[in-house]
Amino acid sequence: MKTHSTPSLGLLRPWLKTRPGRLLAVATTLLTLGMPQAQASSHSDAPLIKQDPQVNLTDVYAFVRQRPSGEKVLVVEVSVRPFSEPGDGVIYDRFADDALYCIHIAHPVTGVTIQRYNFRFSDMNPVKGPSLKNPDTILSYGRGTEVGPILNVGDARQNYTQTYTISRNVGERVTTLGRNLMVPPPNVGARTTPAYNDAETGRAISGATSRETLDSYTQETTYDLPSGVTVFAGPREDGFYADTAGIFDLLDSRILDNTGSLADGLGQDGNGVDGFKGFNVLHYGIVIPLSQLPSIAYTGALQPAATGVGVFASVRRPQAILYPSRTSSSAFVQVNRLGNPLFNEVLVSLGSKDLYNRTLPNTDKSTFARFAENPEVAVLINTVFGTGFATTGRADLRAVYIPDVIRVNTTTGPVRVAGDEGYSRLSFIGGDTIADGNGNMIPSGWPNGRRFGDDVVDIALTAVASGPTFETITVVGDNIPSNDQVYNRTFPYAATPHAGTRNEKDSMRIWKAATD
Amino acid sequence: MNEPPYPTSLVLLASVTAVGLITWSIINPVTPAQAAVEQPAPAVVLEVKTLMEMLGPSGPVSKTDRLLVEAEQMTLKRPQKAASWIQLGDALAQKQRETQAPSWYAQAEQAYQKAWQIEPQNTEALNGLAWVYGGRHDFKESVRWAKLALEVDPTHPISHGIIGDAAVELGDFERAYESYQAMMDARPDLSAYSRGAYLVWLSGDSRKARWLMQQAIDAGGPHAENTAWCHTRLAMMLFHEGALLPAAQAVEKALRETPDHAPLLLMQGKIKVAMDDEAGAIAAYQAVLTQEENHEALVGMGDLHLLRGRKQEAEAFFQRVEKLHLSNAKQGIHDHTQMARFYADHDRELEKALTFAEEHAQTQNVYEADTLAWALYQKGEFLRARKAIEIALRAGTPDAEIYYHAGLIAAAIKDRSGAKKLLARALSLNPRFHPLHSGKAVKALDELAQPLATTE
Repeated sequence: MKTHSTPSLGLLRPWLKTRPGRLLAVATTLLTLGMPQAQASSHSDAPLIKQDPQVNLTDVYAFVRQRPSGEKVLVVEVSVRPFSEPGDGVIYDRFADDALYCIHIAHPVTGVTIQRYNFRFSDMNPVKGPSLKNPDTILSYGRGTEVGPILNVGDARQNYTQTYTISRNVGERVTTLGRNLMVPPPNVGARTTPAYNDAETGRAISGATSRETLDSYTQETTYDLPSGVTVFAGPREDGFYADTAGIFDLLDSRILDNTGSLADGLGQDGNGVDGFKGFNVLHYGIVIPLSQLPSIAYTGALQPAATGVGVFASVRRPQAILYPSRTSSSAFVQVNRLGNPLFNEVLVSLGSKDLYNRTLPNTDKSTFARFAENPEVAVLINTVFGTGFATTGRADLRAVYIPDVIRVNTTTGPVRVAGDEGYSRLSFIGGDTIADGNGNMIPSGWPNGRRFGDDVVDIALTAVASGPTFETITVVGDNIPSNDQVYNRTFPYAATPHAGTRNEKDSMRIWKAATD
Repeated sequence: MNEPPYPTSLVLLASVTAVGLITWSIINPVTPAQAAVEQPAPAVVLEVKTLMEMLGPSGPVSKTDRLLVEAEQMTLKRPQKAASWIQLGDALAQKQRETQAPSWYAQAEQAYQKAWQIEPQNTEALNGLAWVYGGRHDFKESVRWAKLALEVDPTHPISHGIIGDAAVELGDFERAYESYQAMMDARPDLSAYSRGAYLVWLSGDSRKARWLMQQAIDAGGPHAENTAWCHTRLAMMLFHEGALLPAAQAVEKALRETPDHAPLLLMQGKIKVAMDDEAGAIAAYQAVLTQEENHEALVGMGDLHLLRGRKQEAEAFFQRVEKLHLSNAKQGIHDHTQMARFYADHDRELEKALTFAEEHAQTQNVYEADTLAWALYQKGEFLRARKAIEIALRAGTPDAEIYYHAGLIAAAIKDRSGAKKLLARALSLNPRFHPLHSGKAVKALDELAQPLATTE
């Protein structure tokens, strides 16, 4: 059996299974700085959600694109279930059947939800049909009523097929937009799910530029619904990248204790290691025509007066009524939410992390604004590096994070995506800007929306170091400038999931694919 | 105040020169002037008159010029003192650094030779000579002199630095780390920080490299030009990260201190092109060209014209590049790797490009290997190109051009998924890495996005 452990993975091991959200490591490190070592592990980010990977949201992406027809749309994609090991997909890559996965279109100023799209999935562990064709085999994929590679999603060789229903809430009104939509199989490997993979190397192929060039499983499960929205839910490659180990290193006590002898700072193996390399996630996403969205004025970060929407994601679980005398409830209770990258992970302090997940953005102003305005992370960086980054009065960070919805300016044309000419992972810092409806140049990527490949770690830390004036932009970041898989340039933009048998835990080494 | 155990000026000089060499080779893959091969100069003592002639009609204008004249007068007053000659050598070396003109090497060599003859155990004389040979890329001689200095003083930072410089140029990173570490342990200063920063950057750790370079800038040097180099390199690192705005800010700030610093201006030109600021780029390149003909400025101007479809204007600049090359060759300066890169980049004289690049067929140097691979690719020798690019990629140097070349080579040998990743990596590092080639990288990536083969 092929094992996937590498030295870099070893470093991640302590929190491999318990990652509650992006940059737990950073948060933990930053926030426990100076605390006794023994306490560090218990001071995790949002302790409750980490025990619940299936409903653990990790990233929300939202950006403006255009359909081949010319219709402008908002793309929203959400990642959940971090660190999905490709080889485990056969058994575990399933959405929770008791949870409601939501995408919120919110007021960009108040954070109040205006529209909500709900994904509800079918039975995770059925013992009989219709989701399971053959209960008398150990295989979920490759043997249903027939044995062999899966040719089409849900065919006789795909034993287990999860399906979902999508609905939309506008106020009290609920509309079902689609039923019995299929989730494509995980990328088991070249023999079971050949359409995902390169026939020669057995590795996932990605980078499609149009619907037609997507792998056939993804094509078949990308649904254009009568209401005008397009949806997809299924396994994808984790599009987030960061050198978590390197960030640990940045705040290493050897640097802290540096007494002027740089012997400490040199000679280490300093190459960045993408802690998320080789892992998959589950993913749900929607494409909504701009004509179906509200258009609301707000003041965006690093841009003049703007018009657009706010976006965030949440997961809910059904409420259970314990009193015997009362009737059962159909209500759901929110267990996780996510808007901008790194907010709950890096800015919100330990005591409030679980509270964040239980509340909605409309209360952020009163509850969480202080974390954005007075970023403790700047205090810590100052302590470590002797820098003088502004630690209070950060109106710039408040404009990005409060309320914590990703604000997308919908007056722009379609933004560049990774692979397009002029796209920069650093967004405006790298000169990647786009004209808004008034002809002003604004960031193409985060903090105006967020695209796949936006290097949010570098952008966020750079912003912390450079704001509120940005007169001198101090670049702070990790050493990971790219994802380990090439993104698609069409919906779903997230890359093809890694294959269970052959994946990308290896390095960037070229020719590896050809010679391995 | 205690005297430092060795004159700070030499330490800085040697370092910044080495830094200069290296930086130059990054901004511009190859060192133009430093690779000079010169005739041994007659062993005469420099006369003030000669010196004044060398300084040109305007005479001693800069601070360095004045230092030079002072040092020269000191050798006339105290010709029996080794220190006098060392002071002169150091001033000449700084002059070389500022002008990039190889003729100063011979002068500096003579001065250091003189000092060495008076005091054979003088480490500054030994290191001075080591520096001169290193500047000429005669690394064997350079290391030999540096080792002689280490026999006298085993911890001398400059000797370690020079040995490290040679190792970097030869692509022997292990030895380079050892030497630079020894230097750092002996004396952390601008020269040690900036050397370390570059090595760390070459090895792929951009974050630590930038931090170290900032340390170098904060530590400062006796000549404004020393710090300007460090600013240039910091901007170079930011540029390669695709952080265009911060790179532009870094250059602008440094130009306020040293407005004529050619490497800074060249860097500015490069950044402005990437930011679509044509007028700004032209201004920067022209500012260099008013000082002297400069390979990088000429190529930059030509590329800018080419980018806007003005082929004739571009051609005029490219012909000036070739003319400059010929005139350099006449003076015994070989800028072959640089020319190989120029030809390969512009798809011209590919035979020559390959001949030049193959002068370093066995190289372990990242940029020489990259140039060789690129020339081989352009000539259609894909398998050999692959071998060469593997060497260029080995250290993980975060330079988009290397990944771009590697991506094209991978595509040529039908490694489609490798090619896609390498090209995506290039564009992710810095999507505007080259005025002419970043667009081609995008195109190549598009072409690789073909429909997937379905199962039979």
